[in-house]
Parts: sequence; structure tokens; C-alpha cells
Amino acid sequence: MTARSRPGYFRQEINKTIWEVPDRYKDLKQVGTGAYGTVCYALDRRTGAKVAIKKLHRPFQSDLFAKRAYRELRLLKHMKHDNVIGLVDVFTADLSLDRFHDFYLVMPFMGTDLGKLMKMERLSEERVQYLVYQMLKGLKYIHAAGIIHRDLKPGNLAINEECELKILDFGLARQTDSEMTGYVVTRWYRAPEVILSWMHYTQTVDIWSVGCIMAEMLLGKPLFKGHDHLDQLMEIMKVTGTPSKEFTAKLQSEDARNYVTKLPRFRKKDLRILLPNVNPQAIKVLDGMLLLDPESRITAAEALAFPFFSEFREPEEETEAPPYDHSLDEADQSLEQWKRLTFTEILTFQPAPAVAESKETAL
Amino acid sequence: MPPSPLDDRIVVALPRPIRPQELRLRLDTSYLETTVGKTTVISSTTVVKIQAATLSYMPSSSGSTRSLTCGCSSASCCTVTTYEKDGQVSASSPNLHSGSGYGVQQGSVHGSAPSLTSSLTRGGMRVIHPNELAKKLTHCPLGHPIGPVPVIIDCRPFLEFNKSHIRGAMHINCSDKISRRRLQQGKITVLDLISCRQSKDSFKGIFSKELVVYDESTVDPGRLTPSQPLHVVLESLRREGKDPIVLKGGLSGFRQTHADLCEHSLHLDEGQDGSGAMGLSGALPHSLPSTPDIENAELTAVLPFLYLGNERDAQDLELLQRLDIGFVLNVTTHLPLYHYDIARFCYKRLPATDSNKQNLRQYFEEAFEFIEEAHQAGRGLLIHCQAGVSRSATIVIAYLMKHTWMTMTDAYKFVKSRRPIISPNLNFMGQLLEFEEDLNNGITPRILTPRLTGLETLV
Repeated sequence: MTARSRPGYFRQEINKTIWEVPDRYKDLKQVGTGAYGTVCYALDRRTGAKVAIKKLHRPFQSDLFAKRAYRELRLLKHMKHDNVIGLVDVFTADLSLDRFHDFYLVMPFMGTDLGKLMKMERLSEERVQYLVYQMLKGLKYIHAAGIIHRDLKPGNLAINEECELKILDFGLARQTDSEMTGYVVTRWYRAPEVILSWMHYTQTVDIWSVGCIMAEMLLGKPLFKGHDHLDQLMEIMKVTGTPSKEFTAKLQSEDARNYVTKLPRFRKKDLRILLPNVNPQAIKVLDGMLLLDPESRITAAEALAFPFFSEFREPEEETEAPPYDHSLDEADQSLEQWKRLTFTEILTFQPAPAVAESKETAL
Repeated sequence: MPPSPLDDRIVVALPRPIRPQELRLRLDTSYLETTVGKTTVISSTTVVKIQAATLSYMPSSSGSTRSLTCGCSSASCCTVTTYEKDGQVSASSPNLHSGSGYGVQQGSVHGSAPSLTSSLTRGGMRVIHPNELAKKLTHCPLGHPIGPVPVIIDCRPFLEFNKSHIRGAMHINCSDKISRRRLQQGKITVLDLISCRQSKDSFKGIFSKELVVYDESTVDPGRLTPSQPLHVVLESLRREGKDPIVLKGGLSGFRQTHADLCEHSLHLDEGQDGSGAMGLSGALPHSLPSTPDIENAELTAVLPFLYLGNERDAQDLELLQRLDIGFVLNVTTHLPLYHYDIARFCYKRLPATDSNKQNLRQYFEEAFEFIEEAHQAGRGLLIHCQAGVSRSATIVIAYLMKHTWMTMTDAYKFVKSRRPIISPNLNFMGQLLEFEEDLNNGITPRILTPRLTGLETLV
């Protein structure tokens, strides 16, 4: 590998990691790191905007990693909605396919997330309306594409100074490896059918999560705070009541069915008792979301029409994403094939047309 | 916009309290000769001459204002301030016909009147300088307040307000587009956007108080664009009939010289995680349950000879040797039999997936025999799957049920108390439940192990 940077790029070491990024970006500063890779905050000279640049950790070390990297890139490219994280840019300093080994994803920098916000502020009802409305708008969009988030939680809902919300990390929580079902750490927002290990989820698993998040925004603490998935299931049933025979009959595993039918009996609780002093219109939304049977839950599109959101509703902003072709990233490909597909996706990236918008900052 | 006659006012500090009807003023026009092009409106024809001896010039630290004092020894006592206006100096005074003005005068020890001390800037917006606002927030050494403290409104984002704001300022939620749009449309008022109930109440009663508004760093409010939060708030306040004053330089300007008058109620880490969910460095966010970290779990000795662990433990040859583990029970379909080549361990693989279709119970007896074999050999046994959470944990629970008097719940709690991350999937829980029924009904014989006698009493 040549020591010189590609023309128009500069090289910088940040916390023992070499970053090679276009001159367009400056003031790089690491803000996050993990098994997935590293994220830096940066300033986009071209637009003046703050961005988050994500460098994946060795994306082509195996065909499984390469597949995940490809899927993440394709999903981000597909998302073009105000309430869903999307790509501002994607680049690689590598000039050709045979030298291709690293690439970087550029996304809008969001100042905080809902989890942090709830920690420092008790949200007003109006703010809850606005934030949940945005969640549902974003969900309607990604659900229309046939994508299920599967892991909605406050930490996956990024919020900026404008109180604008974007859904993060969607689709990446897909459990393609069934052996991972017991290892998810965040359980408080998981739908009961996920805990019960149903094999066929529908998009309403995300609606359950929104219901849990919304209740937490109003209540000031998590609604279902189980310490493992069995306890989580118990906490849920104390509120929803024990499942009906019709519901239990839908469980594919006879052993799971056996376990559930032997649980103690619980009567359904009135949400108005659990959430005193809360607007009845908000209760109606939660009643439609926190139903045990996923087939009975409201959809994101239906929820948008509830009176609770009427103050902020802009139907023309409630758009739908074009269908997403899952078959491309579910196919079995070799490492080299994933690599080539990823390289092609990078070369074909086209940024969203720049809208001339006045800057919010005083001169 | 031509200046309003209301803005041309005179403020005079008097040596003693005077009742309103005795207040008779005459302007010494020679003092104001420097106000080129300025026309003076005389409010009353009955006047008294102001004695020059009681007035003195005092430059302020900013060098941009001049103060008149009544001659008290305290520099900040009874200060009357003038402001720059288009490069000129002007003075202001209460409207003599204002009843509330008279009322306030009566309460003042030094007879000074409350004032809307401000000047017009280009575009017709009134501004106040940081130093002058600071004086209003500070009592003089003698403890005399100088009129009412103004109501201060912070237009910055809530997160910024939390980091730092001027003491006593109230925050309004106007940094998001939706709030600004509703303000512009007149659907709501500034009062509706005050986020703190206490501030909301005090805002309602501010008729006789000055209203100071600030953002991060605006110097010239005349150059604000219509979409900016400060501009939207100012327009809304004026539409509500109020007369706001802009703090010149915003919080940035104020904090440079008056950091002591700023509150820092929350210290956020710099460089917040821009992608929210990415990265878990530092303390876990509250949205994550406080269960131990699965990935960092360490090998667990459930019984003196029975170790429950994960793939990493199975790879750790030094660990296995140190604990005298001679038997490895691998409950996965795909993980290799680590260290098979060195021929130091006895292996058994029970190919199982952690799924709702897996029949794990079919392997129980086979697993128990292998554990018993290790037990007889006096060696330790490692039972592991991918993470030591579901498959391997299920078999350990079943082993305890078979060889002690523990119920399923007892055995589950026993293992959980030693390895908190265990969480068998529901399918496996159902199989354990069925196993318990068979043990209780004698369908499957319970074999009590002497070395484990009394273990059930520990739960």
C-alpha cells in the first residue's frame, strides 16, 4: 500500500485507527466505538453541516461481515425520509476493487438520543406528541419498504437541537442466525412475540416498541422493566393479562405453549390506572399499540390518524418508501462477490439534491 | 421606523423621596446639546432646574455607556444609564402620565424611577448591553435593589440551556421548527412554549417588568433572518403587545465577562455519540437493563466440578488447565472442539440450536451420563454453548433437577444466582417444565447424588 493519500484525501490517526477521508471533512473527533466500528464527529466544509462518519471495522474479514456491511450500506442508501437516518455521503480512499478494503458511511450528526433526553428532562405532553408522531412517520416509511426494525428503543431514536427525530439502526437487528435469540441485551421494548420466539414477525413488533417508549415518555420510567426475558414476559402479562387460548394456539413451539399455559393467571389492567393524569387521547393510542396479539395492533399508518397527533400532523409528510429488495442481501455470495457489490454501491451513490435552506445559526 | 415618542425619556435621580405631585421637571437643554438632530419632547411646562453639582460622569467598563449618579459613595447605587443610539447618546425616562410609574417611585428610597432603559438599534429593535444587564442582576453593596429584575428569556435549544444560562432566565422551547411555525402562524404564544411551570406563572405577571431576550450570540438583531428562533420570538412578543429588549452578543457575550452570573446546571460530556445507539463507552444508558454484560461474562462454577461458560472459555487452554477441567461438553452444532489435537480432554458434542424448534430434552440423559463420568474421574467439566446463556444453562438446570430435590424454579434460581445472564428460551423452559412433571410422576427416575445432598436447601 502506498503511504501517500489519494488526491483530495487526507490521512489522520484517531485513537490508533487510521482515517483517510476527503478534504471536504474537517475537525474529526471520535464520539463512539464498538465491535461494529468507530464513529467520528466532523464538519462538512461543503454544507457547513455537522456529520457523523462511521468507519466499519474490517468489513471484509469474512463473508458474513461483508454481507452485513453490504446490507447496511444498501439499507442506508434506500432511506430518504426526514425521520429515518440516511446517507449524506459514502466514500473509500481505495482507488480500485482489488485494493478495496475500507469504506466510510457519512450521516447527519444528531446531538443526542431519546434515552439521554428522557434522563435530563421530563417531557411535556406536546413534545411527546411531536416526537411520537415523528417515530410513526418514520416507521410508516420503512414498513412500506417491507423492512422491520426489530430493535426500537430510546437509544435508537436520535434527536437534534430542533427536536427532529431520526430512527437509527433499522433492519440490522434481523436475526438471521436463530442461535442468537437469547442474547439480546435490551429487552424492555421487545414485543411479546419476540420473547415467545415466534419465527414469523410482522411489522407490529415495532408498534409494540413505540407503545413502550411512548408510555415511558409520559410515565418517566420504563413500563415493562424485566431483568431477563422470562421476567419481561411476566411483566407484560401483568398488564395485558394472560394470553387467550387463541393466542397461545398460535405459538409454534409446543413446549413454549406448555410453559405459557402454566403461568399464573393475570387480569388485564386498565392503562388509565397505570398512567394517571395522562391525556385520554394518549391512552387511546397506547391501548391500540400495547396489545398482546400482534394481529390486533394498529399499524403506523393507522396511528398517525389518531387525534393525539392532530396538532402536528402533516399528511403530505407521511410518505412511503419504495419496496426494498431483500433477496439481494439474503443470497449466499462469496466474499469477493460481496466486496464487488459493495464497491459498486459506493460508486453509484448519489447525494440527495441540496435544498437551499437558510442557516439557523446567527451570522 | 421612526422612533416612538415613548422612547424619548428622561431619568433623573433625586436626593430624597418625592411624591408624584411634587415632581416637577425642566430640561436643561444645554446638557443635551450633543444630541445632534434630536428633538426633545417636553412633557410638562412646569419645571425646576437640575443642579449640576449633583451629577457626575462615570465611564463604564465597556466604554460604550455613560452613567449619571446621585453622588452616593457606592458606584452601583442609584445608577441611571444611557445607551448608544446610532452613535449618539440618549436618555430615557418614564412617561409622566404613567400611573404605575408614579406608584413605583413612592416605594423607592432614593426616588429613582423604574426605567425601560434601552435604545433603538437599526431595524427598530431595542438592545441592552451585557454590563447593563449584569448590573440589574446584581444588588448594590447596600442591598438596595434597583427597580424590578427583568424577565429574561432564553431562546436557545434546551440542551444548551441546560449546560449554561443566565441566572434566573426561563427557557422557551422554540428551537424546533414546529414550534417556530406555530408561533409565526399565531397558533400559540410565547407563554405556551415556556417549559417550566414556575417560569410560566411568573411570565404571566410581568406587565410592569422589562423583557430581555437572548440567544447564543446575536449582536445585531436587525440582521436576523425570519426563520431564526430569536426573530420568531421577538415578533411573537411584539404581536402580543410586549416590548422586548435583545441582549447584545447573546449568552456568549454575557458569559465572557459575567460567568459568575451564569448557571451551569448540567455538565454534559463533550462529543456526544452522534449516532445514538452506536457505542456503549462509559456508563450504560438508562435504557439498557442493568443485567451483566453477556459478552464479558466469565466462567461460572455452578458446582465445584461443573463449569458453565461460553465459546471464549472453551478456547482458553490456560484456564481449562488451571481449573483442572478434563471434560468438555459442547452444546452447539457448529463450534469446534477446541484443543482436540492435544488429546488432553474428553469431548462430547450435543448438536443443538438455540431456537424454538430444538428438542433439547432428548440430550438430557446423555449429558447427565457425561457429567457423571467426569464426576467419577474427579475432574472438572466445562459445559458451554455460544454464550452460556440458553442451551448449556438449560442442561445444567435439568441436571440439578435430576440429581437433587430442587424443583425447576429452585434449579433456575440456583444457576441464575451464580450466573445472572442465563436466560433459556421459552421452548427450553417448556421442556424443563415437562421434565419436572416426569420426575415428579416417576416417569423419569430421580437419582439423588450423595455429593449434592442438601443442595436444594441453599436456594
